Amino acid sequence: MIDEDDLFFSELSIRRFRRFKKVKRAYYAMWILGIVFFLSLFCELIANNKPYVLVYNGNVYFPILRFYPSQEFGGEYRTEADYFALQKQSHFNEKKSFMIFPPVPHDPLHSYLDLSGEPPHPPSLRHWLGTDTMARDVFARLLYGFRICMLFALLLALSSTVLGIIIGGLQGYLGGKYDIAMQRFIEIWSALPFLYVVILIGTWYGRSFMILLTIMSFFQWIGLSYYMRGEFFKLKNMNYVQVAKSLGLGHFRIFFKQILPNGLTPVITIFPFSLIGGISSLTALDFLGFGLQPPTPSWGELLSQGLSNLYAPWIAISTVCALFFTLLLATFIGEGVREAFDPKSDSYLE
Amino acid sequence: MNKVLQVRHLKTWFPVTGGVFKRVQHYLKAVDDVSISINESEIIAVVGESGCGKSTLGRSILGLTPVRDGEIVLSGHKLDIKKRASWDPFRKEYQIIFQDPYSSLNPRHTVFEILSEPLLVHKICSKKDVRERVGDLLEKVGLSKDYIDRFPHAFSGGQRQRLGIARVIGLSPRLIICDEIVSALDVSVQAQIIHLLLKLKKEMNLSLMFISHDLSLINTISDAVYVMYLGKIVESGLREEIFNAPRHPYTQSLLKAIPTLDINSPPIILPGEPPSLSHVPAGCSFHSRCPFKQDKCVKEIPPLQGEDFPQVACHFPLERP
Repeated sequence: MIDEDDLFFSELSIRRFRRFKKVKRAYYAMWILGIVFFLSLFCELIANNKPYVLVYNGNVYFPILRFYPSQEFGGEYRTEADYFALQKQSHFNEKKSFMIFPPVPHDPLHSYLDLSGEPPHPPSLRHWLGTDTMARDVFARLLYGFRICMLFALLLALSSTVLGIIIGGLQGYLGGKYDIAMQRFIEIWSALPFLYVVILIGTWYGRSFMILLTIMSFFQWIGLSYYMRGEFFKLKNMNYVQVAKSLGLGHFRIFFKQILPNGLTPVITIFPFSLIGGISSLTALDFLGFGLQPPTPSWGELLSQGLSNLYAPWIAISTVCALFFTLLLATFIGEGVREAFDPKSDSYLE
Repeated sequence: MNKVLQVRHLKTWFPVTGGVFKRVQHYLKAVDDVSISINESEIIAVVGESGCGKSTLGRSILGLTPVRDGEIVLSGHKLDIKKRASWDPFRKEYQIIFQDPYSSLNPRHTVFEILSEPLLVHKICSKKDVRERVGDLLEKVGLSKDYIDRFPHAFSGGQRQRLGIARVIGLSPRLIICDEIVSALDVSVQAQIIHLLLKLKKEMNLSLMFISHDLSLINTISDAVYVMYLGKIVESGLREEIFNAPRHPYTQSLLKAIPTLDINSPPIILPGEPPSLSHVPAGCSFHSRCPFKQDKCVKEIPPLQGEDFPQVACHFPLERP
């Protein structure tokens, strides 16, 4: 009667995870995207124009962690040392000094004005993907842009999920007048032209990461709230919810502990797709110039540079490829999750 | 005798809306003018066909369905039936167990979570002792303590119903409404569950309200019986009165429907289907199927005659033998 092997997860969750694993491309996409995102959280260690370690005159410095004025290393000013230039100076090499750079020794905000010719510079050994119109390293900007993009999309998906669960869940749970009033409000709210709101609020309050995130999550929750409303409508009449009521459990417990865990299917299936939506909409806003404040490294801004400088195809091609693969991987994950949660496949015998 | 529960003239009507403006067109009278009372440590039974409103009666008593009118008195306190919160002080002592053991346990909670939640909410024991307490409850209903971290899917129907019982008896209730708790189970398992309940009843001085259509079960366990037909009580009385000498033709035909080996007592086959609750026939609601129908039955609603047991709602009740 009792399976010994799956005691800690409900049977359905285990079956769904197994089915997700069976969709190979989704399973691997999850790992790839997960690892790349995890690594990108430590961008500063991967792409940086400050060395990890610097030994100068017998002293050990850690420029990546601390600020050193260029006077420390025989420079003239109290500003931060330009380690790249310092490496080439003769007195540096004479004093038996060395430094270890990160694998990509470029900062996304640094303009390399020492390069010959006019920016954008084509790919070279020093700049793998070339530089953009302001002579900044494209690879470093892509890397930092990926982090911002993913963080933004994740936070956006999270906040809109929370909003969608609470608003839609309350609609289903309370029903009646609240439900009707809220439904009409949503209809009006969703008819607001999103782009104009972004532009208006952007001109008023500036274009910071948080403001953009707030505005966008105020619009993104609507889709999920429809599903949550339906789930709560259905689940609040289940016997275990009725029993919970008659046992005297409070509304909060019934909402979050009894109903919500059973109504998470739309949340989980929609999450990867709202991640994709987040990435694309941030990129689109940046492309139009209503996104994050420059010089924040961003894919949308790179794309618009690439478009206006078609004679420098390395900008457009690398950005489009990065965007393409990110969205592709996220779509694979979403597809796998959707497949795993497909109620139809539960009814087949394997 | 101490009354655990008194219900007087309870009405649970569901509005049926229609038309462009969703106006209330008529009411579906699931429970219509029902009065019952339960004494301490008594077992009463409510019987009737499917869809006669017996489950709605159980839910209405616990405030799980909005009540239209009537009086509910729990342990001597009259409730304000319009306010859901008026049930709150009695949530601990009045419990319900549902028919379907599969949907009444949350599939995402372990046995421990299911059984500990009510204990913690009502502060029956501290967080420290709750695990031990849940183990005791499991043993009390005849399940092993080892099952404590399993999910409901790992249990059979009978085991799940035991869990349902364990969940409510942890609160040491005064009354448990058993809404067809055994009808989804195997016959052999049914007996086990009933024996368990009777044992617990003796130990804990429980009152039970059985909602059932299993007449032979009711005949063995109950003290008093209420017979419902289309939302109304048509006959009530002590068990012997009802089973030995039914006075309402409906009760009689119900009793005759119990399968027996006696070839001389054939079942009374009633013509037609029970009418829909939303279109109850005028006059006596049973007249459309009654073998003893007369003109008066079509025109006048028979009142429930008698103050206490036995009561019968019939213009021409059958003679006592």
